[in-house]
Amino acid sequence: MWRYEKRLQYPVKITNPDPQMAMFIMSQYGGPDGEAGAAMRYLSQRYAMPYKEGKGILTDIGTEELGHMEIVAAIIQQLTRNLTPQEIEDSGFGPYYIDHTTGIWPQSAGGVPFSACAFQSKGDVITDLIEDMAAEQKARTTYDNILRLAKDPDVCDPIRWLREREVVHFQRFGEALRITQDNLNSRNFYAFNPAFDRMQGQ
Amino acid sequence: MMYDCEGVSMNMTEEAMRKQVYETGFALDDIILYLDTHPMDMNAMNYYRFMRQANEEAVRAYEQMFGPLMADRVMGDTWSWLDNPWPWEGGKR
Repeated sequence: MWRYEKRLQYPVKITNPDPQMAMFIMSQYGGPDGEAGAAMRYLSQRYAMPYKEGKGILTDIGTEELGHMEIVAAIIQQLTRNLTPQEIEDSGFGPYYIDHTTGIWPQSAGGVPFSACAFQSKGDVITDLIEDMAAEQKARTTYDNILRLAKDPDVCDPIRWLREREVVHFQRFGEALRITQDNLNSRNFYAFNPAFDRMQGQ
Repeated sequence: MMYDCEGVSMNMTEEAMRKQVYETGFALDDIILYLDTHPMDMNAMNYYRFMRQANEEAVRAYEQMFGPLMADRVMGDTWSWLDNPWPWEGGKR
């Protein structure tokens, strides 16, 4: 069960509109390595997680990703306030504007709609945790790509903060993987799926 | 299988206390939606206040016995957040 807290996890205060930057950053809302996919990935994977530390970290990082979706959405919303038709035409925001005006919709920077195919829930703890570590790195790379193009310090500040959280999550998933491997029956280290196969001798 | 009386009464208590949390929690969820579209309804506000207090008491009583319901409500010196069962683990044998 979730309850909503009426604040962003990290504040966003952008004064200058920049619809082109909004198009780029949108990828971290509903793109292939975005926050929506991250939240869905971890909150879906936790049902197959046998170990309490893993259940905790998937639940709590998955919950934080929901908060990150809200931060990214707030950035997009503030970057697309009070646009003139001329600004929309000149910035490349036109195609998005035609379909969504300035509403928030999950898609990649290239316009590909959000897809569950951008993440897996494999029902195998080792497989899932290694995907999670890769996912955090892919999101970190995307934030790095955004930071190379963003100039406005009001935009860079929350993006840098979101990037740091990817690094922290990567670290925590690495620890969850180590805990999982410590728990595994060493005789079957790589042949064994603790979410599905019965533990031998226990 | 033998039933020890203490275990049974413990389970009964947990079930009754959990029911209080579920019922007051859902009553709150429902009145919140109503108040969103009827923010001037004073009867609804009274019900909200009453139910919020009932929910706070039910949650506090439950957590004292069975551990935290939210990660920022861990009491004591150890990280008990991970100890009690997860909500999807009902009906486990």
